[in-house]
Amino acid sequence: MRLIVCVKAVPDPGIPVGAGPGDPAWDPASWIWDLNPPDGAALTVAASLRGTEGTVTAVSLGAHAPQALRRALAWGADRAVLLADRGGEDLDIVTTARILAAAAGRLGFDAILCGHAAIDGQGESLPAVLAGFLECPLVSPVVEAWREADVLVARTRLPHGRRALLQPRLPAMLAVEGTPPRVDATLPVHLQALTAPLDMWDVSSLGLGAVAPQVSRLDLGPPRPRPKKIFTPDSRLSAAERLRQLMTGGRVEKKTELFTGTPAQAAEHILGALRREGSIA
Amino acid sequence: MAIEDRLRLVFYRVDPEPHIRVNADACPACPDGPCTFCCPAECFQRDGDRIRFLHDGCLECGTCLLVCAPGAITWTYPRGGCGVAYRFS
Amino acid sequence: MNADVVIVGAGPAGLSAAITLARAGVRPLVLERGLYPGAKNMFGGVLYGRALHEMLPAFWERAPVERRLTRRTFTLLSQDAAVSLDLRSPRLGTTPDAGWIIARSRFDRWLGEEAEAAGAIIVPEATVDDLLWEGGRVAGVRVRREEGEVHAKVVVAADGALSLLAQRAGLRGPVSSGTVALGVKEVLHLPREVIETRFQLRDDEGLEMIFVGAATGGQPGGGFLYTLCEGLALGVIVRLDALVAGRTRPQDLLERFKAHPAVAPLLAGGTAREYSAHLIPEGGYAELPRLVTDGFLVAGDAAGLVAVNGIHFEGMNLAIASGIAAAEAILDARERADFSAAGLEGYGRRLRDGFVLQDLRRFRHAALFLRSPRLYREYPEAVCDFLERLYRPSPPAKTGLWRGLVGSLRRRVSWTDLVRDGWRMLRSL
Ligand SMILES: Cc1cc2nc3c(=O)[nH]c(=O)nc-3n(C[C@H](O)[C@H](O)[C@H](O)COP(=O)(O)OP(=O)(O)OC[C@H]3O[C@@H](n4cnc5c(N)ncnc54)[C@H](O)[C@@H]3O)c2cc1C
Ligand code: SF4
Ligand code: SF4
Repeated sequence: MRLIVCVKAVPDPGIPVGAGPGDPAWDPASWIWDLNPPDGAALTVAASLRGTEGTVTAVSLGAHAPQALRRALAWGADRAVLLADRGGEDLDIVTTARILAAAAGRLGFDAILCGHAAIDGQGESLPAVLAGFLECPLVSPVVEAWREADVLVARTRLPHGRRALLQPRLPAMLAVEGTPPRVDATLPVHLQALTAPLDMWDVSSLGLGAVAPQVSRLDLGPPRPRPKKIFTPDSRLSAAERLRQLMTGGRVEKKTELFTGTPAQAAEHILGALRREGSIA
Repeated sequence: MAIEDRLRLVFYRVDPEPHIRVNADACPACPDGPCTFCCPAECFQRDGDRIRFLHDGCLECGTCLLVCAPGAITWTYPRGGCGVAYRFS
Repeated sequence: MNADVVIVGAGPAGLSAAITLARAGVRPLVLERGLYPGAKNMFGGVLYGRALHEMLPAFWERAPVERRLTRRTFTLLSQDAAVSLDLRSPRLGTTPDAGWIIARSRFDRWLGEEAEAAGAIIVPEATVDDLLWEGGRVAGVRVRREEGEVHAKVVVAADGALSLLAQRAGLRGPVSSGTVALGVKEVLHLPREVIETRFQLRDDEGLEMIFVGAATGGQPGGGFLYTLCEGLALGVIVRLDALVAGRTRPQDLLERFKAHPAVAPLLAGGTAREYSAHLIPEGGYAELPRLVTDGFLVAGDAAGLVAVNGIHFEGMNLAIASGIAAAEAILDARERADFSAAGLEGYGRRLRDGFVLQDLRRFRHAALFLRSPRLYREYPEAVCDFLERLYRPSPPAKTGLWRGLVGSLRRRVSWTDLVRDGWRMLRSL
């Protein structure tokens, strides 16, 4: 199976971001960039679909694309294509999807995958727009996928924890959900991923004409300050208890109650206790 | 500045598996507990005559290894890529 | 896996060795445990450029340097007073001997890119746990990953101050708390204009401030402050055995240093951006380990190559020079296909002939002088006290200059200690 995985580099969500423009910690160059975790999940799914004769090609564009692609190679991609855009500006979703679609069209594929969203909060609609450009069906959010003979079967998540089993016609687009477990590549694979050449495709060579940003950013402001939460004890408690909670900074001791008896009795006790706590009506 | 505020400025990629282990059996016989004040990240807390150790704020300096005279500390660097990553120092 | 040369650690020592080897056509494998070179590294502030300039001419034109050192001050701090020497000279900033204030996380990363451009292979996220042995010689390293054994003809340990690999290779015993200091540092952000007006700097000019005395609460060590492009790097360095004996938290010392009346105004308005900690080998010449064994060399901090004389710290340039010397010795050994300790002996010779071991030797008496506890408590107090008395308007009548100084000292220090410290100081110069 020929698989394409679109990957993206995102800043690590653990980065302490600065106060605003001028602050060195506000400068994206000081952030730590890595593969978007759902894209990692997409790579894991792709690697499981590949089979012996298939290929997984990772494709990325954007300022930190090489980082994402090297990680993708360590995570099981066979080949990495870097879409170099001379402007290097942030592109809007539709333009990004147009470029990715052109690259995918040139590569050819049976299934194209990506993370169902980027954890930097951008690009949730990318899979849909990309599938639109490619005129192929979209399955989302995929939690698992496998091959049965010649067909591809995907399990998707629905509200209330329900799951659906879907079989798209191929070629198809899969938006994969989840965070892959962090497993280190073996040293030889790690080294290979670091040193393998990246295929550089210039965006201008994709036959799209001029690709200019369609949206310009006017301002990038500091985050809105979060309201400070002040602990206030529950007014239904006794004055002494409220005072105690204030003095301890709102920390509540864990309470343990042991219920004994037959299972039915224990269940009765538990229900009673939950009612007393106000957890159930 | 409280140590929590200091450590909040530092980027870590925490490995759930601790890279430093304390053999707490030796600690009751070590009344000074130099680890509890020498560690620049305050990873060691005294709790009665036991020592509680949390590795997630560790700056990987090696101080605790060198000041623990009874040799109660098994010290390694974190897994590759894990632990602290300085950006301005 | 196999490699000709494995270098452990992408700090200045490892990367300089890598560049030298790569240029000679040997592609070394550099194993670094951090996310990128520099991720685990911090230092006070100044890289003395000559050694690096010889390898990468005029590196400062391309490298991420913060400022050029053009002004240095040395301050004795008593509890609430300060006496300073302030050196400003156009000659301080002359290349290639100039000092460059840098941030390691950015600088080491850049040096890593230079090494890659030269042909070295840098593998980040690779923690080396152990050495591989073959018939009594070091034959490679074990990385903490699956299939992590790397066989090599020769291994360079450039793994920094803790020097765990040199211990494994049997070149040295464990590092003792009496020969190593702990540095804790804070990076503050302040706008460029504030830095330039507050510290009287223009363009890329930069300032180093060294503080002795109350900076470390009277413990052996000192405080430092460097101007960055947009901010300050400041911290304290204390010998580990003194930290243990004094039962002090290093971060409390840092806090007190920041609050000292002579320091606090310099920091006003700064926002903290990072906190870091690192060890510094201070054993000097006396603690020098064996430098080679069969198939193995040790360079930089891992070999304890740091020259300290109280007001002056040099480690990076020694690390760079030792990395280059190690690489050159490997290239010689390669010609003769002899990577035994005897074959690698050129390393020690190069260090002895170059400035590295000569500087270290020159500073060996300083180590003894710096051990005097009075240096950090009584003398700063005495000098501040003496000058305060000197400037106090009469009456009461002034004593003579010499008598005044001796009086201030004698109130705090015995004759024998004074003579002993004086002798040690003269020897260490
Ligand atoms: C507070 C302080 C202030 C200082 N001030 C100055 C100054 O002003 N000027 C100056 O010249 N010097 C100064 N120094 C000294 C200077 O920082 C060092 O001498 C220099 O960094 C030594 O370089 P190195 O390459 O030997 O070691 P390091 O820079 O420590 O590099 C070692 C590298 O090896 C890696 N490593 C370690 N173990 C492993 C392993 N097992 N597997 C994989 N990788 C590993 C580390 O991650 C690191 O990248 C200061 C030091 C400190 C702590
Ligand atoms: S220094 Fe070592 S023995 Fe002493 S309390 Fe700490 S961990 Fe325990
Ligand atoms: S290595 Fe340093 S920071 Fe980490 S626990 Fe030990 S003393 Fe603390």
